[in-house]
Amino acid sequence: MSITFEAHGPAVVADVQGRLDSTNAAAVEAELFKQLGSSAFVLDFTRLDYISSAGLRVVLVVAKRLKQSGNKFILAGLQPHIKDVFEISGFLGILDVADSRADALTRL
Amino acid sequence: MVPDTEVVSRFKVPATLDAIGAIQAAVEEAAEGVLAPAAVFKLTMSIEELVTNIVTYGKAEGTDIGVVITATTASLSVELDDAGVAFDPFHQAPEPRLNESVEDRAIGGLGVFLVREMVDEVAYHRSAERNHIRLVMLRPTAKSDGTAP
Repeated sequence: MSITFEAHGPAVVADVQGRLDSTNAAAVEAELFKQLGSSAFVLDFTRLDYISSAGLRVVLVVAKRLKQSGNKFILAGLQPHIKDVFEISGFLGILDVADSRADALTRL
Repeated sequence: MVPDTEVVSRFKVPATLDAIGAIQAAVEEAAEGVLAPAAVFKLTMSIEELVTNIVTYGKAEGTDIGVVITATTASLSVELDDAGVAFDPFHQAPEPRLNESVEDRAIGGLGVFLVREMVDEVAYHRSAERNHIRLVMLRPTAKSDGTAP
């Protein structure tokens, strides 16, 4: 698992690679929260291969925090099997989801 | 006709969070060339959810989790048994509320729900003071009526 942060104009993009599971969810959450400030936030999951409910929890707490601070949050690039998990969880209906990072950036 | 059942793997692991990776690795190996990658993901994710619950809530410290992976021409199955407190995750876990906004949505409570939704057939029984969970993923050509035999 690795996370790379990039600034794109007024937004921060977090590129999350590998697995987001119960072994690293707390560390990933802490890492992401350090970058949540007064800007829009894109979570790019193009290279995320595995997620469990522990990972969904991280996405939800990030979404809650950004909602609270009034900043836009977009989830981008979900692979089909990952998208299934978000769909089943009811998250696709309540989160802003883009097909790709490029698509997300045009919406900010 | 009952398909021939082959035991692919049978082992025990201590009931700690490290069991997750060990069981997932065995399932991935057994599923190689048997299940599609998306089905392998559903099965290994389910292992994480269920073993996390056993270790976190089952009071199973110091005991082992038994694992049996079996294959038939129709399916790949994983059976987990543990010495934790009696708990049927498929009937006793609370239902998550899926239609709430980001602000109101409860954090957590999705694990067992995901397992039920993603695995083709699930079953639970309690015997000899152990919980027995069975997960069945059908191979690409097989069909399901949603219940484990």
